[in-house]
Amino acid sequence: MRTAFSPLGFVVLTSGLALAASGAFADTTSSPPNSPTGVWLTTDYPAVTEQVGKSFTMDLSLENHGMPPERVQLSLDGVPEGWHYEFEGGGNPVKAAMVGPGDTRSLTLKMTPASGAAAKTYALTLVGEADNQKLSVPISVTLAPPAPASLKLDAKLPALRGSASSNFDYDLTVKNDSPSDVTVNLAAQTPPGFDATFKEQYGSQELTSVPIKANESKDLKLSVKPPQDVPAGKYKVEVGTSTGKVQAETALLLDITGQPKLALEGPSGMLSGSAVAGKEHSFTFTVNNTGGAPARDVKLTADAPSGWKIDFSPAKIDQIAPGGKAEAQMRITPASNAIAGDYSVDVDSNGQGASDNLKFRVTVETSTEWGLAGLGIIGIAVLVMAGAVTRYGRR
Amino acid sequence: MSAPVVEAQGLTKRYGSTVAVNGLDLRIEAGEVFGLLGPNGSGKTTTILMLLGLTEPSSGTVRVFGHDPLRDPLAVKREVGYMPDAVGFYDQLTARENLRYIAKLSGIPENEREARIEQALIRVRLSKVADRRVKTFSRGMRQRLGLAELVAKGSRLAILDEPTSGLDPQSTQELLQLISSFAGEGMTVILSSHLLSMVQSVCDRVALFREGKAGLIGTVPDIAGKVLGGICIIDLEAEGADPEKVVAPIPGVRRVTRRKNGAVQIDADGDLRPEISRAIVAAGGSLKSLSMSQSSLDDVYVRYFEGEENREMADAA
Amino acid sequence: MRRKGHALAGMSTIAWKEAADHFSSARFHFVMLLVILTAFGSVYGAIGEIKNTIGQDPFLFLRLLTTAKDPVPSFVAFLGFLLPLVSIALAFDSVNGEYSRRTMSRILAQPIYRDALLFGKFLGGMIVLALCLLTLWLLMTGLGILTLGLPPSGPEIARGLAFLVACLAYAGVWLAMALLFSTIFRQAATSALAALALWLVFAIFWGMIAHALTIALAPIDPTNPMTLVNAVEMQSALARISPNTLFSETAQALLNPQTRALGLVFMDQMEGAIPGAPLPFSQSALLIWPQLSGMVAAMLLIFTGAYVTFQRQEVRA
Repeated sequence: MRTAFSPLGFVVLTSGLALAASGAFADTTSSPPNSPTGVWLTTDYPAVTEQVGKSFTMDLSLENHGMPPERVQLSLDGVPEGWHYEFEGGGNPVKAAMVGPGDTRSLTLKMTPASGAAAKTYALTLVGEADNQKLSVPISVTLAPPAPASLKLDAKLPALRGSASSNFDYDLTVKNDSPSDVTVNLAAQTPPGFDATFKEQYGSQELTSVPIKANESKDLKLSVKPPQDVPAGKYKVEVGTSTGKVQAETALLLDITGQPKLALEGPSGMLSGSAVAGKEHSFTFTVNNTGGAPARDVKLTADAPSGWKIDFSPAKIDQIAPGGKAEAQMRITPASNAIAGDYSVDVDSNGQGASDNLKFRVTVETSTEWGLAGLGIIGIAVLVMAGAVTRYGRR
Repeated sequence: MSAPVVEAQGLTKRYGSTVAVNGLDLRIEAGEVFGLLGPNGSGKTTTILMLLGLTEPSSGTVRVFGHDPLRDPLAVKREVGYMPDAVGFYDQLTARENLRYIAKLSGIPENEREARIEQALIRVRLSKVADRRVKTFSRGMRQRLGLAELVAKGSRLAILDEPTSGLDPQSTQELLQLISSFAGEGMTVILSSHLLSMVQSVCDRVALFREGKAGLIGTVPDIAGKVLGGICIIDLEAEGADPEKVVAPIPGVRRVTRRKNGAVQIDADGDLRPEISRAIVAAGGSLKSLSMSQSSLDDVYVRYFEGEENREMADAA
Repeated sequence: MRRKGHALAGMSTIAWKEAADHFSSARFHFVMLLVILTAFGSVYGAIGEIKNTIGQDPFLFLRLLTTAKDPVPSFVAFLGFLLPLVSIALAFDSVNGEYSRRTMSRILAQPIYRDALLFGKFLGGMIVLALCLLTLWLLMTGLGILTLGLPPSGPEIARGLAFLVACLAYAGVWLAMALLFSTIFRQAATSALAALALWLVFAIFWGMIAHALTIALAPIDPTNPMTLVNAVEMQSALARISPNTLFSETAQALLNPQTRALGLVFMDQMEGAIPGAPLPFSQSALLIWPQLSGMVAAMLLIFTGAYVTFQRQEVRA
């Protein structure tokens, strides 16, 4: 047991030697040299530098080796005017601590310098008073002015190119170059009609501000959506971040290229029509180009049930100007054995880089020829009856 | 009289190979009560159906009130009322409802209908039971209801097929009286029967049917004369003398037959009653009754069809 | 030969009289009571079933007629089974009854043609059927409004009325059939038995007969799928000889708007079809038009058969 404990004891001893040689060590002459006995008050870093105007803490420990339990009254000497301090043990403010043999108490010294404390080095002494001895640890606290805070904003790809219908997603990195945590407000200034939203990099939550810890950075995404009808061109978006004290800006560029956009429209806006089985019907479809560039080579195709004949005239529209429209006739012949009811026909318009499709609902009506045949059957029956009446009638 | 009510010439009806009516010639004048007499199956009903246009003649022509029943049956049926053999009614309807239905069918105008039905019901003495269901009617009441139908319809010609069959004597009498009274009001009546007494009592003229032919047509005495050859039949009841011996020698007496009840029937060429009475008295007998019956149709009927049977036997032999 | 006068004079009188007779006859009351009770039973069951299972349906009212709650069949199934019975009850003794009541010749002696009698009887039966079906339909609709708490929509009313017409045509077929039997058989009992036998054959056994005939006429070769198609088509063609099949198909297409085809449908015909989309009423009507016209034609032809038989008969009673 003792052999196992000795290295730690030795380390504590050496630090005790170094820090409290004058008092603590002198009083423990009766202890065997290789296993010192006594009560020590220690701290890991007795000389620290802290920022002006901020509270700070120091970790202390009270140790007892081979002595009966001892009550130690804690205090701090040499505290400048206006400073406040406090000991904490077990999470509560304490004034004294007690430690049994072979035991260690962890304590915290919390110090709040005066608000106007100058930036210099202050010497203080940590004092622990027991019944028959006095433990003291000199500590030095250097107050230093805070490092200048700064914010950095970087865009990974600051210039993007796309059509008016696409989303421009910029990856941004905000770095808090300061020793303190900050909350960064986000803002983007866009041309009118543009819509900009900040989001987490991997997430859909929209953000207006983001907390960043000291010296850390955060990746964000800025999504810019230009209005549908924006003319082609280069647009600038100013992104600003600020903590209230410091700001960072960066400029983003949207290079909006003109893009055709097709919108397919059924006959007089309807999405349905009717046709007789086995008979050709024609429906006028309208292809609108709502994009910012002419649509070229717009092909019209349709996917209909097998046995149906569908073609378009014209099958290909060479060009539709932006904002313009073109009409095409869909000639549809449902299969002659198609049964009555609703069928869905997928109509596609496909130009270079733009397409639109719609589900056209065709109500197939069966031919009334069979209806006529039924009438014919009734007609024959009536004729037979009429014949019988003329042959056998009036008796 | 003007045009005849019924005129038939060479009226023939064949069913396959059998001949129901064979070359019938008939002329019935207005106001007549005409009897069709013959055994069942002699063609009476078929003749009636042809008169009504309900059956097409195979050949020959008929005119009823000048209309051809074949071409214009509706005109004929409008004038003619028909009461079939064992007339039937809708049992679940009342007498009045039955008549109303017929009245509607015969096209009596609506405003006259109820009055005419009521009159007809009074006429046949059924007005008290007019709103009872026919289900409860006796046979005689049904026959009378049948006559009421003819009255309501205002038929100018009534064709009655076996009107008295199945009736008790009293009902028969009632019915015959009614029929006679219709005739008295100018309705022409054709009635068919196998009941000779009935025909004899009401009919002006009779057609004697045999095998689809009206063998004889005429008044009852005419026919009797033809069939019996003008013989008078005298019934005699006498005591104290043997009529057979006493009467037989009288000139003109053809046959003397003793009946079971003791009476004697004498067939004579003429009315020999004075001679016979004288002879009886002369023979010391006392005369209990002496009557001459008009030659009754019964005799005619029997003799007529006797002859037929004889002929058949001869044919068979 | 051209006869004078309107062939159908008096027809409406006869038709209304027949209708009135039916409405007051105990037999008809009994059959209608049966129909109404079963109708209520089936619709009551359907209401419970609808409330339990179907929340939203654009054709809730039609569901009322087609939903069955085990073990009670649906209203439509009941109607398919019982309507022939109603028709048979109406007509099985309509012609031979006149003979046996001995009213036939009396009626025909009125200024009408025979045509009017038979047409009138058929029409009278149809009037009765139409009124009863209409009443039944209104009852069901009223019951539906009460229990479902909403009025029927326009298409539902149109479909309901078309169904009514189909019911009438179906009942008309059986009415004509019963009328035919009543002219063929002089005994009402024989005619009733014949009609009921035919009813049983079509209502119960026809499926089996069609199946057996199909196996005999179009054997299935397992290696040749076309023989299977032929067999299925033949079986459905044979089944459609039965008016009951025609009626149930008609009812299915009219009352279940999702029905797109009756009979065999190939997969490729269903490609692209939007499942569950109801047909517009006009298309449903077009779908059942052959069935409906088949029933109407059958009704006319069977009636013509009855007509010819009747016109050729001798009227002697």
